[in-house]
Amino acid sequence: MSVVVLIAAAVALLAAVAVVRSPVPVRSVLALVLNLVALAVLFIALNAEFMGLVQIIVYAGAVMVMFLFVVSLLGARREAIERETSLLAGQEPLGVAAGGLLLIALVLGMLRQALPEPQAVYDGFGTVRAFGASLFYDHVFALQLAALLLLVAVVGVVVLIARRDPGR
Amino acid sequence: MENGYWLLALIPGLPLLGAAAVAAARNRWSKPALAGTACAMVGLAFIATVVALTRYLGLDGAGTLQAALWSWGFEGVGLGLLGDAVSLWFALVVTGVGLLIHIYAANYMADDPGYGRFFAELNYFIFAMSLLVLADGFLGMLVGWANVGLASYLLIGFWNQRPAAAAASRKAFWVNTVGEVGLILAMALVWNAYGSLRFADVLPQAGSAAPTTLNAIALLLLVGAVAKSAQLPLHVWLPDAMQGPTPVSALIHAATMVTAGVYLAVRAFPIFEAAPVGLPAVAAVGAASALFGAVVAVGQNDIKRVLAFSTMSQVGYMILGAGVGAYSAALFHFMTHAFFKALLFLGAGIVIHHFHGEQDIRRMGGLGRQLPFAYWTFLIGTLALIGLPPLSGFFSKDEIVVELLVTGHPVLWVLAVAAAGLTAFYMTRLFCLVFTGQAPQAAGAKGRAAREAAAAREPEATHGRVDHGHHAHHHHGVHPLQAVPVVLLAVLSAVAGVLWIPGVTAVPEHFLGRVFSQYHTAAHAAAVAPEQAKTLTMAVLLVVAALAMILGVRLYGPGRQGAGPVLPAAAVLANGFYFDDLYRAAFVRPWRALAAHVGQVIDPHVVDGAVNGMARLAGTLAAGLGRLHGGYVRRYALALLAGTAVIVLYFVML
Amino acid sequence: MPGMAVQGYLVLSAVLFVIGLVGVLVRRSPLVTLMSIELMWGAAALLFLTFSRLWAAMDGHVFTFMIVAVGAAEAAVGLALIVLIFRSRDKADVDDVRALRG
Repeated sequence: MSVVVLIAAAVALLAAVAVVRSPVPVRSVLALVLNLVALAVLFIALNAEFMGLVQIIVYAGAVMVMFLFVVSLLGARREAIERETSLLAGQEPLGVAAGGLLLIALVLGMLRQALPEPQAVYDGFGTVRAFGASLFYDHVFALQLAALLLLVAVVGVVVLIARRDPGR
Repeated sequence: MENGYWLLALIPGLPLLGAAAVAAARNRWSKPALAGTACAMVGLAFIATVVALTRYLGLDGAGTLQAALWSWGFEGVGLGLLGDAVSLWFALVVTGVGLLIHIYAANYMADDPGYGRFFAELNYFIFAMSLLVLADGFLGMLVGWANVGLASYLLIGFWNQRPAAAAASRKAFWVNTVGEVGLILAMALVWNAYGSLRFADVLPQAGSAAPTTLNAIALLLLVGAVAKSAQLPLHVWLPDAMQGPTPVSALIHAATMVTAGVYLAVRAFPIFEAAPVGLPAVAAVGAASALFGAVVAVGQNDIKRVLAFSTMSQVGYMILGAGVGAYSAALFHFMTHAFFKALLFLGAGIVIHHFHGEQDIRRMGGLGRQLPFAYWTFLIGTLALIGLPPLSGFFSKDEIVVELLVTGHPVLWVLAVAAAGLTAFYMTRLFCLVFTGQAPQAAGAKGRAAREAAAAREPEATHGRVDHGHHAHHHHGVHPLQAVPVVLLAVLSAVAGVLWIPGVTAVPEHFLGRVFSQYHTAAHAAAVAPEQAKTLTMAVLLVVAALAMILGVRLYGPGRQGAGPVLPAAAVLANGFYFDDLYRAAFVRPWRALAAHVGQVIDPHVVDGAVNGMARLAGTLAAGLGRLHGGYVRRYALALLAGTAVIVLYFVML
Repeated sequence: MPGMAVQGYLVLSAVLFVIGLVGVLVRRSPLVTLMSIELMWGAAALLFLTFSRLWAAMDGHVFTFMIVAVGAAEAAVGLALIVLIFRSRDKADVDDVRALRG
């Protein structure tokens, strides 16, 4: 029972709530960053050091920055972006209720299971070397697909955004 | 038993071929070619029948000719032909008389635009009828039975532009359908009880079924026979069937098709004998019809209708004979009746021509002087029908009536004698009104106009003419194509009796006995000694006939006033005891009302309503469900989540 | 299990996931929606790593890596779309995009 882990868990939770409830998008982004960092702590606690660092560098570092750019592109001038009142009646209560239902279902499912004791981790578990070995020996195909996916995403974004220059 | 006797197949096969050929070429070939083809096919079928007959005679006692035509792989179900004494006897008459009538019709129908169609349908009828009598089982017989019904429908309604003819053909078809239902139900019971539909399988073991089953089978078969043979109470179609051309009436509704019931009764006689009510029911129907037909014939004024009811009555005699076990006698009467009834109808055709389409005998007369040919031939037919010796009808009718007494049915005997007396009376009346007395005065324009109006009404007026003149009375001779068959039939009517002279020859009995003796149960003890019965019957019949004839001549002979006295209850008789009206009120009107109700109420509202309603429902549902699609993605997501949550919960709870 | 019991990690993952899900449903800003989705990704990653630690196998790590990669790609394309759709509008509200109606 590590105090650090508990604190990190609590922070992650609160930050997630803040993401969802914050009326100002920028604050949502920042809350999300906090959440990701807390998660990274948890990852490291789980002996997944490499993943934790990847989380911080790639996710919090690159993806969130992208979010910030877009937020500022869209709504920097305004405080709130959404309309005052919702068009869909009852969406909020129903959404919360459905979410609650799902949560109960998931938790029930998780807690009913009798899980075995965690196995002992070998030396080097979670390191870059172990990760690389697993990635390149066992999951090469997935790697290739992920690479393809990223390529598609880049091309797609360029196609979507790029404006044809008339005359050039 | 001679299997694979394929010659049998020619007997129905050739006319079928002829029908197809003539039908296909009816607008292309010349009339002689069409008629010639049809006649040739029937003629060849007749020759085939004769050849088969000689072959059959060469077989020993229980031998039969057989030809298996088609099998569906089941035992006991299949189409095949059987050539035994009974079937060959019938086939001989069907093809022989059929040939003569074909030849007659070649000239009779010469002016009709539907010449080719007529001969195709006539050939088709011969095919169907010979199939009916030659079939080796109920299934083949049913096929022939139904096709004969179709041929009858087509030929009765041959002049299909006339509403009366169309109505008559429909009526015949419907009444016969009632019979066919009975027949099919009987066949189902037969199959159930005996496991086969073949005569050779069923008849030898006829007695092995339960009495109630046997009764049911016998009665249902009887229904079929009653309908097809125009017996009481399903006789109503026969008088109307006279709407067809006269050769049709001669062939189908006198000589052959109406005797299909007789064939059935005789063919299935083991069943009728084994069933407790079988033979009595048959005899009752036959007696009732014989008497009824004779009574009603007295009050008829249309020459063809007299002959129609006479046919009903004579077929009643045959059925009656079958009902007391006198099968050979019944079949012998069938043959002689075919001869003289066909003769009478063909003669009637000549008469109707002469009077320019007039068919009411009260407006005829004096033909004896003008057409001696018609006079003498018709006379022979009349006397044969009445049953005067030495004509054939005497011998055949006599045999049946004698058997009634011998087998101990005095009541039936009396009824048969009464019917014979009435027969003599109405035939005498008919003959006298047509051939004796004064020719109808038709001098002057009024008369001619009336005649031509009558001619326009009746298509028969233009048939069989050799020359067209404008005389008040035509003196055209009868065309050889018509005359020769008539003469032949007259000769046959006269001399056929030689086949069965009591104590001298008994050809039918010996020939047909080959079949009957196979299954016949022990002979019934004679209730009255045969010799005495014969003498008594002969004497009584002759006396009764003579008295009736004298009365007829007195009332309607040459010295009569106009058309002779009107009979008491003439309207009742003329309307056939109102059977038609009874059926119309009991069946036709309610059915029509029901059909109208269905057509006007149920069909548009219920059926269409249901169909349209479903379409409307689909539309409403679609519109309603469409409202679920707001286009809001968040809603979709919510729905997804809710569903997923439920599913997960379900699996967790499981 | 380091830090917490296994169940703790599992429940935390479930809660984070549901929070993200509710966020998708309730918020109308497209950006917040995307971020909520990111939350869900994170929860899934946590789950994978938990089990990976349980079985002492590296495969969960690889999968988490894929989550990161896919999440990044999705964020990129999603943001591009948001920019496109809402650039010219007054307000950025998901409910305004209703072309799938009916």
